Amino acid sequence: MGSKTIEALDPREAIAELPEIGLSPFHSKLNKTLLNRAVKEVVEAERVRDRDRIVLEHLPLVKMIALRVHENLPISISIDDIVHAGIMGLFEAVTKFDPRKEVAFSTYATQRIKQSILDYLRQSDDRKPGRSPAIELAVDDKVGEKRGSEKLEKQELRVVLSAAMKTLPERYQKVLVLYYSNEMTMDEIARVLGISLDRASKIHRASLEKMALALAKLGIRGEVSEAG
Amino acid sequence: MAEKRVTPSKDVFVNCPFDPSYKPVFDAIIFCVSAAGFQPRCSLEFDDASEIRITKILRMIGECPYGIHDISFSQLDPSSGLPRFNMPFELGIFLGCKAFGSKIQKAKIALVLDREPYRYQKSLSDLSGMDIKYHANDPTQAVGAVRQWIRVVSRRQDIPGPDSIWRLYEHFTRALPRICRIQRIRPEELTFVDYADIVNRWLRESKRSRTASITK
Repeated sequence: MGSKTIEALDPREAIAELPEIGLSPFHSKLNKTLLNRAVKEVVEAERVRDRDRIVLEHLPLVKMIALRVHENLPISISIDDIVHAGIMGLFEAVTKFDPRKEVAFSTYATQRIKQSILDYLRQSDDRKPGRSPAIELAVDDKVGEKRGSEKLEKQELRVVLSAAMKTLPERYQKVLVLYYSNEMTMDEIARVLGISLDRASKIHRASLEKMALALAKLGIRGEVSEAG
Repeated sequence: MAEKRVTPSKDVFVNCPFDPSYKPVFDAIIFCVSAAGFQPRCSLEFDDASEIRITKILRMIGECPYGIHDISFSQLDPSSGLPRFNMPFELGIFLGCKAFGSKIQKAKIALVLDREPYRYQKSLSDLSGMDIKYHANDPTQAVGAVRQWIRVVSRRQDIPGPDSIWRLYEHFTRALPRICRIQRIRPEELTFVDYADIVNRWLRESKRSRTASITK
């Protein structure tokens, strides 16, 4: 067959390749209204399922970008919110991606995710007095470059975060380590700990809230603690 | 007076067995022809009892510029012990039209399929020298052969590749039971016309839905 294997071919790509299909000259004895509705329902369900599958497959990409951006931002900005903004960007990427443009989806999605995070940061920055130009820098590709003072700040931050983490129950700590250090998906974490996906997500959220509270006690206030 | 332009017909006469064991290959071929933007036709589409069968078949063969003929079931019928001649007979009519018909009929193009190489030399040796394709009763191979043939004979550039068509077909086979459930009909109860109609609607809707989501 062709150059791509069946497994490698994305269904969106296959559908985009379809030529214009004319109306069927056949008049089946099936109820036309019901048939049209059935086909529409099933195709829409498939489209949503494909979209969700692609989003799930690319969540580690969002997490990676969010972490990279977050490590250059003030502690007051919640990683959760950055990830959320990134996921919104990923949804937009899945919806607007055109396979005919011959750009890899991950390349396109990376740009969309970064843009969405940047938009979120700009919006939240607009609400605060004294805009920070650091936000643009944080989302920039050069974020990986370390500067001496930042390194020091990060080391201090690690110590503080480590202290805050120790206040959490063991299972909560495990979820955070598996998610942020081992870069496992929530689904994988749920399987490792033998709990449901929903429970794993709740523990993750609760862990961040508890950590924010612990950090607040240390004099570091974040948005999660305010939300919680 | 301006010359009237006639859109070339995209009708493909599918002369294939209707045996239950052949159905997976038959369904895949019908899907492949539709996904390539062509119109599958088959003697199963008739429901007019007033017209005799051979008249209907002759009319259909006359209307279709393309023909897919699968001779893999040219064998003894286990129940009657007699050979089944329908497929080779209809292939013969098709080739006869091509040899002796009008200019339009002479332009007919046929794909001959069999299940294994050189089997036809024992059962239908007059076909020697023709480029016969094999599918080993495997729907994937049948789709590959039909797609390549349509691509070559139609000279169209916009026909999806065999992998794409097969991938779409897999999607369709997953969607079909759900469509049937809403229709309150079992997939095995679908007639050829029902099946071809659903394939056509599913392809159109899938294309429309994805395009809409991309351009939204």
